[in-house]
Amino acid sequence: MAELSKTQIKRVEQHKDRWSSFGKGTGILDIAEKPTPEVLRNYTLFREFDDKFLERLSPDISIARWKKNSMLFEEGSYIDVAFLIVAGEIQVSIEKQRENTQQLPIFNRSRTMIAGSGGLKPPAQAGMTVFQGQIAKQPVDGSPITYLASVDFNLPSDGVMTLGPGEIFGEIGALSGWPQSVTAKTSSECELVQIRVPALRLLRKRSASLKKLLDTLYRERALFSQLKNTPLFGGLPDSLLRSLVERIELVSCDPDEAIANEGEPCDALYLVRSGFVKMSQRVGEGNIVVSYLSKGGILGDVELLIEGTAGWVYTANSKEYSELAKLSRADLKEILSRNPGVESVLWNSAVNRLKESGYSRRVLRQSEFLDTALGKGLVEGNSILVIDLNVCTRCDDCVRGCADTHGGIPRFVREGDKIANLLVTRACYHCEDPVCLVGCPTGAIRRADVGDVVEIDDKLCIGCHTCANNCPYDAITMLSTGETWPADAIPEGFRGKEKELASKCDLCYTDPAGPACVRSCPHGCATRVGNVAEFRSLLRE
Amino acid sequence: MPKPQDPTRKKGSFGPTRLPVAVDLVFPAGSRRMMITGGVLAGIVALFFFIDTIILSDTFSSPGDLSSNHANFETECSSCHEPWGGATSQKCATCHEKTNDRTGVYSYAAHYLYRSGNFGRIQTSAHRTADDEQECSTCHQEHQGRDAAMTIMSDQKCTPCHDYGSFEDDHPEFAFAREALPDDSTLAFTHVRHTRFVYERLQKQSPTVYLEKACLYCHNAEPDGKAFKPLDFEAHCGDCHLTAATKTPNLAISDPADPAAPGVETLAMIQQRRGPGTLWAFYTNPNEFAVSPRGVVNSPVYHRDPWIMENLKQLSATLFGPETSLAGLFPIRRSEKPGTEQKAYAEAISALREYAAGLRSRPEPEVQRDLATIDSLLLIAERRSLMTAEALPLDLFMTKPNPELTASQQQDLEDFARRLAEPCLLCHQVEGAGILPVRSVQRTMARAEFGHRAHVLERRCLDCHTGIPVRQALLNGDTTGVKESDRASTHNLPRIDNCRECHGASRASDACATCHFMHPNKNNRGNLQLAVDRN
Amino acid sequence: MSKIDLKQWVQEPVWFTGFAAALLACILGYLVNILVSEVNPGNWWGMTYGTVATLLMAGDVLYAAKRRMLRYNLGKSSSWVQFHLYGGALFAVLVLMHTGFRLPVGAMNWMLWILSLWVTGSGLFGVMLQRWIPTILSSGLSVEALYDRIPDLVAGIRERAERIVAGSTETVRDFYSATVAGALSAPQYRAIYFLDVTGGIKEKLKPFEYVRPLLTAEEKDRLSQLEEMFRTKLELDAHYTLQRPLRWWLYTHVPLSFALVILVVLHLYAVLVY
Repeated sequence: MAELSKTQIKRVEQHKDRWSSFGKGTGILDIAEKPTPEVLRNYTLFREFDDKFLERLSPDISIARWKKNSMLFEEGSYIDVAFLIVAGEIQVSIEKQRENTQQLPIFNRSRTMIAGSGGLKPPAQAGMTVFQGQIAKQPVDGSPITYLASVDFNLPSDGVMTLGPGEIFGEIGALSGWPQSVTAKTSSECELVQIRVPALRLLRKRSASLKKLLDTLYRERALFSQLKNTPLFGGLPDSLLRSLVERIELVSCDPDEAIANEGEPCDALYLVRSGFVKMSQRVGEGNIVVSYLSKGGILGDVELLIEGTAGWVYTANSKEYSELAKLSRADLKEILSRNPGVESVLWNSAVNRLKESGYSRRVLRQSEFLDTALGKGLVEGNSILVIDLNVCTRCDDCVRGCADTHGGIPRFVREGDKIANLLVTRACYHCEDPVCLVGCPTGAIRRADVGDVVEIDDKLCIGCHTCANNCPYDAITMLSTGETWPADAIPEGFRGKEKELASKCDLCYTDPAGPACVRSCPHGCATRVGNVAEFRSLLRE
Repeated sequence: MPKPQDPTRKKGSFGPTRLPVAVDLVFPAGSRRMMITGGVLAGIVALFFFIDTIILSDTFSSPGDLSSNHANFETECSSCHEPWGGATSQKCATCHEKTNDRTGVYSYAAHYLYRSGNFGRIQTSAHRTADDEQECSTCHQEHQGRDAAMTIMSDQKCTPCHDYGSFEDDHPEFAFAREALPDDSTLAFTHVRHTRFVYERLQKQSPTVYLEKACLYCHNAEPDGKAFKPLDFEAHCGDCHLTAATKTPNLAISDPADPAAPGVETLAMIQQRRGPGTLWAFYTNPNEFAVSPRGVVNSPVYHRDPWIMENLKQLSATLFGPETSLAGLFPIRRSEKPGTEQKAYAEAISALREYAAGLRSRPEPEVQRDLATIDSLLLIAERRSLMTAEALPLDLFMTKPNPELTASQQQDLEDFARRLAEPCLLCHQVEGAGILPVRSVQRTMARAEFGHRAHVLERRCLDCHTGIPVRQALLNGDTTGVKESDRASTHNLPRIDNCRECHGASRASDACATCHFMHPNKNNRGNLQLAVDRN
Repeated sequence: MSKIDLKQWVQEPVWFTGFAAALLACILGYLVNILVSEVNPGNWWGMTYGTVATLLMAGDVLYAAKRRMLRYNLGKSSSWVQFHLYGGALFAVLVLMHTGFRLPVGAMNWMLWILSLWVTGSGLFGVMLQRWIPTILSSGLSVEALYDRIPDLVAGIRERAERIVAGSTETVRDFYSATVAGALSAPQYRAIYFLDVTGGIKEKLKPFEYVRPLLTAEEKDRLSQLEEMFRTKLELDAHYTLQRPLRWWLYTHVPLSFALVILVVLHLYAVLVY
């Protein structure tokens, strides 16, 4: 077991009370869960809603009173909660320049091609535009702002900011799933409304004012620095960038929501901030998938650059929930006229997009493959265990290796979707944007301190099945501990039931040798794939 | 973010069948079965082995039957095998060396002991160490089956150390030819003349007789047919040489007052003197000596005439001084090659012992007195033989003449000695005041053995011994080359090319073991004690 | 049968090159041996071959141990396996060189020789199986299943089929019990799958085509479901047939290898102590 980092220790202490992540005995003086609509209406934020809606929100909201000088969360931790300050003051700071902004990737480098860290830039791959490749997970060199897409605050290094009543924080990290880039402490006794992601989403959809508030905050705190660090806008002068920040529209999409339709007039450029966008085109009587966009991708470059294209060339749909930034045509033209550098970046992106979609149209297998990848979540995963069935002798040494390194019980079985010669096993994909993190009552499932590995802490897990139910890929198993909950257990639903623990692949991240499954395979046919291009290279039709 | 799945879907297990399947995958019963089966098989094998080794006849691990000579020990491995040692030479010696190992019979330090048996040829090896010793089992391999011949050695046993390729290609020329050694017999002899003499006489008896029969008149084969007996004056030369008419010149009698003056002792003087080894004087016919005040004439002269020899000894003693005690017993070549002192000593000691052995049974007190002298000399000599070459006193070789004599006196003595030995000079050579010893043993090959018997049906003497062109001279009348080659110093032996005419890859045997032998000749075992250098 | 892919057979070219080099070295060494000295298991040359062979065998055995100690990081299993394969092949060559390519003499030596060749041969047979069967399995089948689960999966299919048939007309029921039920009763081992992984599926499905025109639209739907299940079951049969040798060939290799190891140890004992 690796040494617990500071954040992990803090969380464990914070979560000493097992059945609530904000339990007594931490910094919390008292906490009221599932507040009634009446209680909620005390706060401005909720006043405009009807009871029914508030009841829908209620399970995901709690109101807590915190002691002075207690730690809310630390830099680097993953929180799925947004905080609304009712009373008191919160000090937000960057405690330390992260010692190692260039964290080594957890994933075995030879098996996945994660950009960044040590200045490595991935080569351009099929399916990824240059732009995408460059901003995919690249910690910025030397900048005090550590993570690109989750920067909450535009703080200088060692800088401190104080937030007071009425202010919201933590929502960006919660919505995008990235680690917090700041540390939040109470500098006086505080009363906080703690809103979990599902409620946050609902609120944002319903409440125009909240949306506006969140947008404003985002623009104020994060968007500027985020744009500054993109290749597209990085070269622009600050003044222009600031005005841009005001003009950009932030778009949130639901699953399958259409962003653009082929043939319709194209009026804006979209920058994908999180999630995935499926791009398809009309062929014959139907549509085929020709490409997709992930974080940092650009939609509309082709249409806007190439004169004479009458409207959208692609139909774009948000695959699941995604967040985009929309820049109008006019604004873009203005930028282009003053900054030719931007145009060349756009051209690169456009050309790659055309190449890719052209290829997918010609070679229908590629389109089919992209469809499969999007449908089965291959785009989502950062480390998918893929077994080449042409070589696999079904010896189960991979499972045995996993079992051996995990106390005799394997974390996966050699079963899953079969795509041509590849078996996509149901070992945790370590998603880009894990659903399993949503709704965990104790915070037992979370990302390990340093990167993208999703792991479950046995000491905190209460076996509620939420994560197992949530996982779309069936990667989480419930294991029986052999004990039963006592008859006076506080969550009444557990009384007398078997105590279970959730268990899933943890990528053997504490082991310097890397995942046991990969190194146990006697024929070297088990690999952990980090992106779609790698997957494609293993495929043998 | 992907949307959470429908909560009614059954999650949290490895599919419809629960975890035990996974456990079974990880530790399948099949794997256990295999290990157990394997373990049982291995156990059976091990059990069988140990029962066989400890209780039964121990034949399981035997790599093959023993040869029939050793077949009776087949079930007692310890008769040849030492624990953690293999089959050591010690174990072989238990039976094959009934005398104890002190004689070192089967110790072939660098195996320089060759079957030729000529221990005079033993050279000490510069790098003769214990490492050069080979275990018996290196070459004599057992466990090859009942009919295996353990003593037959293939070339592969020799070539790892002696890499001479094949006989035809790389085998070196014979030493005598390679180093152009002269035959160091000190006789003067011509073959053509003598062979003609014998041949003509044989032809009178049988006109179609082979020329080679004349060779055989003098060169008599040993009973085993392999080699030839040493030539003997009485048998081969005495019919014609040293007849009754032979006599010495008139020799001055020595004068006791003037020891430096050359002179011989008469029979009476010798008798009176009673020196060691002079008993013959009492049995010699005084009529053979014509004594007059002017001198003595001895006639007839015998081969190894004792009177001449005794007088030569006295002259040597005068010439080289009385310190050379051993010199008093026999004449030794003065011109011994440096570095061969020890060999000479060994020769000397060996000759002495032989001499003494012949005398031991004689009851006469004079003989016993002589023997006592010999024994004490032997003691000195043996002690000296243990010295290094540098420490050996060189006076053994009589290289320093008596310093009291002037040069002209020395010269006179030497001339006188030549006159004394005049009847001998037809064949022998005199140097100093002694006749140079004749090497009667004709064996030249030090490292190999040649058996004539195997060859005589196919080849005749003169087919191989072509150094002196006897055949051409006698049958064809062609005398070219005779003058140069027809002398005793010619090694009339075939060179390797001659052998290669028949011995080669697909022809007559060219295996190492055909000519070379590793072990000493059993018949010469008694001499080994002397011969083996005990350094 | 799928095309033979060189990459399949030589999985890691570095190891293959190393093996080729080692083999060449052995052959050269043997040639030198013939020229210089006699070929004999007891002389230095023969003992060297034997020693190296023993070391290779020990390395091979270590792989079996490593497989049971996966929790420790002892290196990649694939590298160990490459050593096991090439080391084993070299082991057999060296054993032959050790005996001078002659037949052995003596009971123990015969056993050693036969076991060495058998164990190596069965190993190579296993390698061949491991290269050949997976390509067949992934080439023509759309389903992938765990060998141990197949009986349960077949039972599941049978239950579902019976449920569908239960609520159906007599035609379908009769058809089911006559043609399909038998096949669905248990996984079946059919050797035809080695030659043709689809196993004559077209022929098997013909009866469905015959019955189809006799049914109503709703029943046609049911029939299609049955057909689909039947097809899946046939594919599971193919998996059952083809995955079994992948498990069972080890019985020819592993138990006798234990015996071989013990014999080699005893052989060493005999050679050293005697």
